Amino acid sequence: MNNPLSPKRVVVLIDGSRCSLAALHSASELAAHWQAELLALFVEEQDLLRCAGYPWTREIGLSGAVRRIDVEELEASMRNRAEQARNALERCARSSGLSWHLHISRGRVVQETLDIVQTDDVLVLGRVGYARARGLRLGSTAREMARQAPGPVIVCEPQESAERTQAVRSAVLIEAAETGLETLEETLPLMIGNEVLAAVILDLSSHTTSRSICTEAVPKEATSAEPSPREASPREASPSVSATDEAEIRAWLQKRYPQAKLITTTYIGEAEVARLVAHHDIDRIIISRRHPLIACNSADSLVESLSVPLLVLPSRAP
Amino acid sequence: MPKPQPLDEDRLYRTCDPTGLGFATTSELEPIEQPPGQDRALEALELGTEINRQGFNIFVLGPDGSGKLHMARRLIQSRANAQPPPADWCYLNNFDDSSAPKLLCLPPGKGEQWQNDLDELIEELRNTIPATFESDEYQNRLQELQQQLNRRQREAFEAIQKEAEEHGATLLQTTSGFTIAPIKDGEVMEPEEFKQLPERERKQIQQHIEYLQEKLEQVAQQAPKWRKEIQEQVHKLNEEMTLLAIGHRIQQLHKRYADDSPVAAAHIEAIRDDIIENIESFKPQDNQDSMEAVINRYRANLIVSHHPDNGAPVIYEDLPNHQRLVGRTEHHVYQGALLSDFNLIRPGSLHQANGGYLIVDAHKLLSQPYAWQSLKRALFAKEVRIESLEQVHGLWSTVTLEPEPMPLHTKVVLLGDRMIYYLLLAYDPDFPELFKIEADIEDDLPRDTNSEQLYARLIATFAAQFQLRALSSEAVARIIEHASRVAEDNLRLETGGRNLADLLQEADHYAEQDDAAQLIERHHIERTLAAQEARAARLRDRSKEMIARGTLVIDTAGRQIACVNGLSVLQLGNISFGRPTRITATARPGKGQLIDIEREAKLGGNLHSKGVMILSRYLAQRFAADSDLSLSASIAFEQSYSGVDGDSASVAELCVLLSAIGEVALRQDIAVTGSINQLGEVQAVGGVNEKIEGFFDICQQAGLTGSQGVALPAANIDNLMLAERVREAVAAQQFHIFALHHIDEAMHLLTDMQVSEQDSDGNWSSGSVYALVAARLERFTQSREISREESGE
Repeated sequence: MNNPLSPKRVVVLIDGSRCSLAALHSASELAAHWQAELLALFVEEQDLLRCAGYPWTREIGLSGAVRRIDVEELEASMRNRAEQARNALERCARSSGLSWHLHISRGRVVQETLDIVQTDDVLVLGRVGYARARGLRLGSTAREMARQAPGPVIVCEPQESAERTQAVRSAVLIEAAETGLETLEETLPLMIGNEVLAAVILDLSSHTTSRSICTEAVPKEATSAEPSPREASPREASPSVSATDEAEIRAWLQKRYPQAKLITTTYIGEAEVARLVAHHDIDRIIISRRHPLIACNSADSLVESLSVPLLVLPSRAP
Repeated sequence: MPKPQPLDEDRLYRTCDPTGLGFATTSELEPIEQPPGQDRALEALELGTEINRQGFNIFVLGPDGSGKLHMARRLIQSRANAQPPPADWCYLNNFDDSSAPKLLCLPPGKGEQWQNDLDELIEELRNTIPATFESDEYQNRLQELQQQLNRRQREAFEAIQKEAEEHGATLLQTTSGFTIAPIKDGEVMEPEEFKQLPERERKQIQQHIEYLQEKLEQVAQQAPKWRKEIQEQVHKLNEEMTLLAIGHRIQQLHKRYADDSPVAAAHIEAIRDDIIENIESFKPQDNQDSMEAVINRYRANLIVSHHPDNGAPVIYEDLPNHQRLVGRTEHHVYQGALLSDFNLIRPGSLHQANGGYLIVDAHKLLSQPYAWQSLKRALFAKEVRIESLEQVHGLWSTVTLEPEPMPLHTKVVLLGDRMIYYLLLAYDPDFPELFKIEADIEDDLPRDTNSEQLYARLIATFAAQFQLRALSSEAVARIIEHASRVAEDNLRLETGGRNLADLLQEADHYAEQDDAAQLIERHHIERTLAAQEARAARLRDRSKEMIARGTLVIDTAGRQIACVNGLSVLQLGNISFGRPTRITATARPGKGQLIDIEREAKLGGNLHSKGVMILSRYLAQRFAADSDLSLSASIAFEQSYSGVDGDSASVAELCVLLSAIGEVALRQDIAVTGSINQLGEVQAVGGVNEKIEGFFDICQQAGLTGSQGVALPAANIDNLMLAERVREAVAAQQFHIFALHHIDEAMHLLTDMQVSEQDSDGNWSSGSVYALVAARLERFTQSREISREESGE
């Protein structure tokens, strides 16, 4: 399928971790599907190299083992990982006949990535790299990218490598505001061959008020605190407005994805999303950045409660 | 001494009066429980089954075809039916050591229930437990625990990160751990830049970083402990969920078996614990093999089960080899290796007969390698161990099963012929320890009115058992007469075994051919007996033919010096027949030797030699009591090309020797049989019926002269059960049977001369046979003296 609207470039972040290799795999599949270019980024962490320059610096292993970090060794290890990444990339690309490129730079991952990624690019990355070890389900890079990347971001699962034979069932989480339809439209070019839109989850609670509550700079405490049902209730949308939205969306779906299920809910939290994913056997969640779950910085807990890949659409709105 | 007179016809056969039997056909008769005349064996069998002590196993000994198995089985079965059924036995997995399966004993009939209960439990496990793990409740709780661990780790690292930030440092992630670095404006400070800082500040930062590194170390060291704690909580969660899912069922089973069998109840508990331990295998996954492997261990391998209404088991093992006696363990091949588990244990006949009786044929048992050893081992140890021969003999060293041995309380009944019994008794010291009861089956039984009636009932029983026609009383009478003939005794009957059954079945066949007759009649029996005889008569007929053609020289008329007709019996399988043999002698002066040519040619057996020695001593004592016997004589069986044994020709040999010495002609139309002692008395021999019939047939073939006959020991008269053709000839005065008590009577009969007594001076009455013998011997003495003088000795 060569849709003129489909992405021209797939950018994948590689750090050599297991999760990033899974991301590479997904990215090469996507690139092959869209006949897009595959660009892999490997960033040598400036901070770590600097740190290694201190004579007292020690690396504390997960087992508690302590050892000295040497700059040269660290650089050699980074080169080695980059080489491994190149090999992996070559293997993936060769099998699907892609044009590819590996970009190695030195600096800080988020900044280096933002410098390269453009609006038309789809950014693919693993949900967590080496930080998995310290109990994180979502790495800092993934979190920042989901928020800041100019184009769509796909956060991959570590174990998503098995060959799929059945169709991928996706669900779109849309906000009930007028932007809901926009989100759906944005979804279209990003759908891949064996993907079906299985469900559209219409979050009525996100109507109008959501924007006003969530600002760009949400206090940090709010990040992990789940909005309780009681808190949610005053934000419930007036039925008349939601009814209009619902009808529009239904009409849109009728035209394009008649088999898709429209699920409306007045309260959406990460637990509810996880329940819906399990219940409807969903393989991928698509969400817009303007959706309060992302916008209100609860992406961490959303990802934590999910075990399916997440596609975050960039917000077109300023 | 008077000349022996021919026997009356009625002494030659004992008829059975059909009217005396008291029935018309055997359908009127009650079947008989046990064969008649076996009281001794039956009493022994009963005693053996009653005594419940170690070693009181039974050996039933008797000839082949005497119906040992049938008799033993019948008696034991009736006793077993009255006994309570023994326990059911199962092999179960041993959760502590799967190579040593456990044995479970349950009341009769409960084994199957136990097996079904476990199968149902397994079915329930297969469905319920995976469903429990798929449930939202379980998934959520599991995730909560995982999140708890993540949160704990995250919080610990976040705390360090926060502390680091407070001291102008940051936590950095490396590929295999963490490190701490000083920061400035959100970036790690260049070491060069750091060096520019005042020394106090540098030192402070370094101290902080070293402190944080230590703290980080502590946190990292705690991480495994947290993981373990969470694992324990997961384990507890698994346990809790499992018990909620199947706890009720487990409890129910536990309650059901707690009273009857604590072992079963304990096994249920072990299953519960094992489920919790192996809970991972029950989690839904693509590959169900691991769950199947786990739950298959919960099954019961029911190896012995009895219906509670049945009695004790009676097992006949027709192939008593080691494996079939003590059981075996099967294996299946998995990736080139032989694997086994308790489900593959197969019981042996000792297991199946436990609490009851095991009947084994001794000959079959002894001809199977190590089977006898294995049986003895089990009986001594009072337990059955399932071990292969390779294991027993240390030839198998790979890991294999060692199932718990089953306590053994079984009575073993061995069946065998007497030879095996006495050989075992003589050579196996274990045998008398283990088989203390001998049940000796009689070959025949006394014949009287009562036993004839019992015999008729036995015939009726066989007829019913083989679904044959009923027999008329005449037919039964004929069979009774035949049984006497087989017993070689008109006062006894052969115990009806296989031969009787064969006879009846063949007769039934002829009755079927006979326009589907309703009854088996006397003529069917006659036809069967004739057919049986004819089938085996090839050699007899050939021998008769050779005599008729003169190839074998037998005279049945006239007189001849130094030549007499002896009688021998040839035994071929079940059939034997008699045949006359020409015995000749020579006599000349000598030093008192008697050459037994058969012995010299190594064709004579020991018994035959003994007979010849006896007669030579009798001769010497009779004619040279006080002096040397100057005789060199020889005796030979003419045209005998194979061995001769037995002393039944010694009367004939003495007669022919006397004839040779005295030069007296002997009658060739009379054949003689009988053994002799040193006093000249004639003693009984075997096979008289066949011998008489054998000579009669030859005479009949040559033409009966009316003077022909057979002389036999008087002691053998009771053995006479002669064929009808002989009896008819005797009745018609065409053939004669004489009974002998003493050698003198035989000589009288064969020479038609006075044999004579010695007077007080030792002189024989003149003209008598012995006077001629004594005179010839006197001449021998003289001629020996002359020749001695001539040679100057």
